Amino acid sequence: MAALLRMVANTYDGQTMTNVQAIIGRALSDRAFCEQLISNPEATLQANGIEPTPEMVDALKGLDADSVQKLAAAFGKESVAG
Amino acid sequence: MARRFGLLPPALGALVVPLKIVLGLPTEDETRSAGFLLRSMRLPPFLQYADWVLDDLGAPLDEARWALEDALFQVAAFGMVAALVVEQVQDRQPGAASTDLLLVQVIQRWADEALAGIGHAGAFELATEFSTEQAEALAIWRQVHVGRVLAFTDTERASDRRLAITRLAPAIAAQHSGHPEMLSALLEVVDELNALHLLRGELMGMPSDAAQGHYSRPLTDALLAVGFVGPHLPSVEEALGASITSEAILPLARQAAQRSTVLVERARGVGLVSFAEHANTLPVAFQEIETLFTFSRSLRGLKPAAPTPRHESRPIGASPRMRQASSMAEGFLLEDAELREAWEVHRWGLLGVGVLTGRTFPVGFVLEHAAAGGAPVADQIHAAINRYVANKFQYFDEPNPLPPEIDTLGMILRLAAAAQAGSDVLVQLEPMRALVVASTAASGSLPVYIRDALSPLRWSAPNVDDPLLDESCVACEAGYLEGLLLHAAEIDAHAEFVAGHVLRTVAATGVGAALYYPPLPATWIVARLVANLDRRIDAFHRLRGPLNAARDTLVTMLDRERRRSRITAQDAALLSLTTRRLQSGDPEDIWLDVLLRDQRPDGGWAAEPLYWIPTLGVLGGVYSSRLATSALCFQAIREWE
Repeated sequence: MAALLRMVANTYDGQTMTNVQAIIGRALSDRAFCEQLISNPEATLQANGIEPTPEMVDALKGLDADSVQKLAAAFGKESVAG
Repeated sequence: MARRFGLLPPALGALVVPLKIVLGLPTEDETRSAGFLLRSMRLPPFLQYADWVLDDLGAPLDEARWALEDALFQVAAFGMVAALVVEQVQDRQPGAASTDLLLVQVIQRWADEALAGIGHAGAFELATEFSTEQAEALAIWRQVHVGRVLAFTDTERASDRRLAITRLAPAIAAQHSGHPEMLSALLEVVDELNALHLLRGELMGMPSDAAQGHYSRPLTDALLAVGFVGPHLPSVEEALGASITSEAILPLARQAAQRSTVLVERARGVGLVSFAEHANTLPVAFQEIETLFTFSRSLRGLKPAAPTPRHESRPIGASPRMRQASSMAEGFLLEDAELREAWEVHRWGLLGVGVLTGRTFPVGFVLEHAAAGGAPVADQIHAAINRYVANKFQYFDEPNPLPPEIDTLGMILRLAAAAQAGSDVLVQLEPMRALVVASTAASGSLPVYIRDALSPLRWSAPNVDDPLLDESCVACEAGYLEGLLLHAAEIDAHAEFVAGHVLRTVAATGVGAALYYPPLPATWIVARLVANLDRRIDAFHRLRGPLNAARDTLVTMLDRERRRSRITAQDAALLSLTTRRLQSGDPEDIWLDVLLRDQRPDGGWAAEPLYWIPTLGVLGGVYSSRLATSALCFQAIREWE
């Protein structure tokens, strides 16, 4: 899992997030970012170059960080096994 | 198996360690280990398939069975390992080098030895069939791995047969134990089990696939669902985010769970209870995946601004982009008035005859397709015809040691028709045509090179005596015939005789008898003849039967070509042109996408191999030029407008 996180982290380091998909994808691999995104979506989105809409903010506030991390962990198991 | 790996020379040993790990070697029982591979989520338990078949079909537990199981285990293991190494090399995985393909040969030989040891009639035919299917699927899969967005449409096909070689051991187990009637049902179960295992691995392997630029079906579906358009490849985050915010993953997992349940019933129904028992673990696995993705429902409303589906149908004829492309292409073709680029083919000799390098090369091919696209090249065509006649039916200005040939004659005839040349040109060409008629074999075939000893032509080459000179080529014959027919109001006896031979040959063997052209260009050349004849003859003509049969064969071949794993601009042009000539459905929008995408800023396209040229001292060269490829692409786009 650690190796996977490093691998994923390296791929976005230094890049600018350009869309919503990228933000959500990053949340999968970075627990701190995930919690920040859910607790303060407006600021996190703006910091990554996305103008938040009410729809986005509501959706992100309703997100469960544990569920995201559970999926990330499941992905990680496959990565280690494969 | 461990002993065999131990015998490998060090130079072939780079991949041995990972391969031994994949096979689970060494273990307490080396020959029977199912190994790490069976625990992988990516691959199905294929090493057990043959054992399951023997169990389920009630094979007696005796020495013969143990021997059969051991042999089939090696067939399955070595066969898959060989395929895995190829994948590693193709995918440029760390530690894998092209020299490892030699290792593949060794391992494949081990699989063949094990197969031969079983002594089962028909085993190698099955092996060839499944290997071919796997090779085709791997070629597509490789393209997916390259990460071209174009390959998105191929991912599902690639998954179908990527593990085709795993069918071999269970198939032989069924046949060898006296149950050949089980083969069809067994392969159906094996294929579905393989497909579900691959899909499961792809669903849970999306991060690693995305990181490596591997666009599996789940990633592809997700990216297309959120409107990803490229041209850049998606980042890992974009791909993973798409998997969550799109509607694509849940249905995939749900359908897979349902398919797994159906598979369990299917396997039980045909008595393959071991397969059913294993498949019974899959519905729960897919339901777990579905649960993992269920949390994301609240995110589904999140879409990028103004998504544009890549393959949305569009009004082709009204596309300004296409008009711009054809205008740029025409400009590129006309910019080089003498078409020098197409001439710059350096050759070291034809059929063993040394020639100077850098000699001029025929530009007729370029002119023909430029003219067909409407480019104003009549003056250049007349110059090419005049040179051909002046050089006594040779295209080259320099002395040529080879005899004149029918391929160039056909092209000159077609050029004369395109430029609406007067009858005086046909009179000038008559001596060459008469020689071709005199060289017609009793079967109706024509040699490519016309070397009549009584020829009044200047050709004489006492040092050239290559049997290849007497060979025929069905594409050259078809091109010559099309040229003849473009100038004839009626089909004369010679044309009908040769046409009958060509059509019967194509109906029987496809374009396999095309000596100098690869299959797709040959299919295009013969398709033009078929289209010409189809317009000229009625339902009662003697050629109608052979013509219909040849057309059916070409359509079958075209369908195969349409499924090719990688489509280049020249492929797209030829596929489009051939599809129209054979009236076999509509050209696919994606071909136009490729043509437009790969056009260079100067209006041309990169040179692609077109046909084989014999070359001294080496296996041969393949002619290609930017102008030739661009002329084909230009004509294809013009037909789309």
